Amino acid sequence: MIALDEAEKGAFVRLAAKAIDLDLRQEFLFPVLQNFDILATHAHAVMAFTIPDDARPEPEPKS
Amino acid sequence: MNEIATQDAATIARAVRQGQVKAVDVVRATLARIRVIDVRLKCFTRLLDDEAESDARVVDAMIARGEDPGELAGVPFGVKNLFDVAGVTTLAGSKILRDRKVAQHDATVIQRLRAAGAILVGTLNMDEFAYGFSTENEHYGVTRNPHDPERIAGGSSGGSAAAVAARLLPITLGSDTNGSVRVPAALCGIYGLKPTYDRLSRDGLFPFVNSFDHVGLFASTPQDLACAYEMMRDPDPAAERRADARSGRFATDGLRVGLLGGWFEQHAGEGVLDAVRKVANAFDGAERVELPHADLARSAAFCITAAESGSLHLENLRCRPEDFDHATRARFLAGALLPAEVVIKAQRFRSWFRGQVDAIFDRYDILLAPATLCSAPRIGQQSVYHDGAILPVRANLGLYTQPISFIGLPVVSAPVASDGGMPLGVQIIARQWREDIALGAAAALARKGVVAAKAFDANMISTDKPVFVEGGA
Repeated sequence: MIALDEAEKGAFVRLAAKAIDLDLRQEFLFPVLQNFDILATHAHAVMAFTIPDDARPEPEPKS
Repeated sequence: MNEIATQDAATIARAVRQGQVKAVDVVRATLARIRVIDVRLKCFTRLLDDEAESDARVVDAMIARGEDPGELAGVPFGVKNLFDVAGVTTLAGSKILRDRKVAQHDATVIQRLRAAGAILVGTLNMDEFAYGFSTENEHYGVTRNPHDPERIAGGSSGGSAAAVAARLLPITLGSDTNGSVRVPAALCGIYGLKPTYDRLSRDGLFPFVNSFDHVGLFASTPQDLACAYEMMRDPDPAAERRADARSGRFATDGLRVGLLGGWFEQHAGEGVLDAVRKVANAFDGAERVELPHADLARSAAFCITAAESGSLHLENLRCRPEDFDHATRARFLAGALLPAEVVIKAQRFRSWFRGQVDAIFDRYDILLAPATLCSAPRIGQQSVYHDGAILPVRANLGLYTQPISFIGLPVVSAPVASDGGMPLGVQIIARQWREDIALGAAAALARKGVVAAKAFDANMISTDKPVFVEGGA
């Protein structure tokens, strides 16, 4: 997993927020970073797993 | 009269149908008891006195005319406040939804319970937008565990579970996305059912994660659980299955049982493992079995949950972030930032994982696993210490439930006593669409005395006792 320092994580999260038109306030940044760190660990585990070729995306869930 | 208010649904319905008690008297006694006990527990966010009394009079009038008011005649019930109730604003545990218009119609599952003669008496507390396992709600307060009010009831359907555990209501509805029925059912010592994904209608349910949202329910007996579930489900051509769950056709020695190891043993306290072994030992020839990559199933569920729910709330996160519960806000914001590739890969993994687990059900009728890694934590408690590791308690209460709801399998969480006094839960997991097997197994275990709802002791919530709060709302 790629190692990032706190400033780099903060910069990434702010940039990602900008992409979806979210103004991430300074007072929200630390808890968001904490949660994003946990999510990134889970995401990395999922991305690292090789799924056999026959697996297909889930269909759209029913509303 | 107050005694009738603490009975199970089957007893109340029988008494009402036979004219031994009037539905309106059941409702009055129930509401009176709630007003005394819920001051301490905070299960309810709203009581529907007038509507409930009016509905009860309709049931009594039908009985007076010799008509059949339904199998749940006069049985009071409550719903987690993310279900639409006609004339009531659907809050989903939030402040943000307070200024929405009132719902025009009842959720489909509420309509069906009412059609069976059940009486809706109130709405119940939950984690904000169902994102949590503790029901420590910043806006509506902490729901306390009826067996020890210094402890959480679990969540996110905490009000629903605590109301049944305190015998305030015999049946309540909740929702389960990652464990929100099974976790509070376990921590409160009652039965919870999370049916197969899409089995019960989600019409009129405020969504959390559309991929995983299930309507679920709570009761103090497996028979009540089965009865209420049957009233809410679509008609099933396999009518014999409906009867099986309640008639007790299933016996503990007739089922092929797998005891889940690996992921489902890690981090669990010895008391938790003892509880699952005790249940497994009630079946002849239970075998240990592992679900491949259950850890990844939990990780994938975690990612899809965060991303879908973050997306759902994006507009309010942009416009009024200060109105969210601080913990929920951080989770939604982080989820909204997750790259799409992760969600797509997680959904592909889901498809693969479902295939692996389906193959395991060729060898087993049910699988057993703990519902939680520990009994109810204290209110405000941040971590649990086990096996040399400190684990954040809230995120990890869904450790053993998330891999199962990830693929939508039906599960009964059955209550088991522990040495420490606080109850635990065991997940009885069946293959898709076979709720009847999970319910039948729970009923068979109850007949053997292996599982049982924990008795409620009203002295436990005496207002004379100090209430310990560590950083709680």
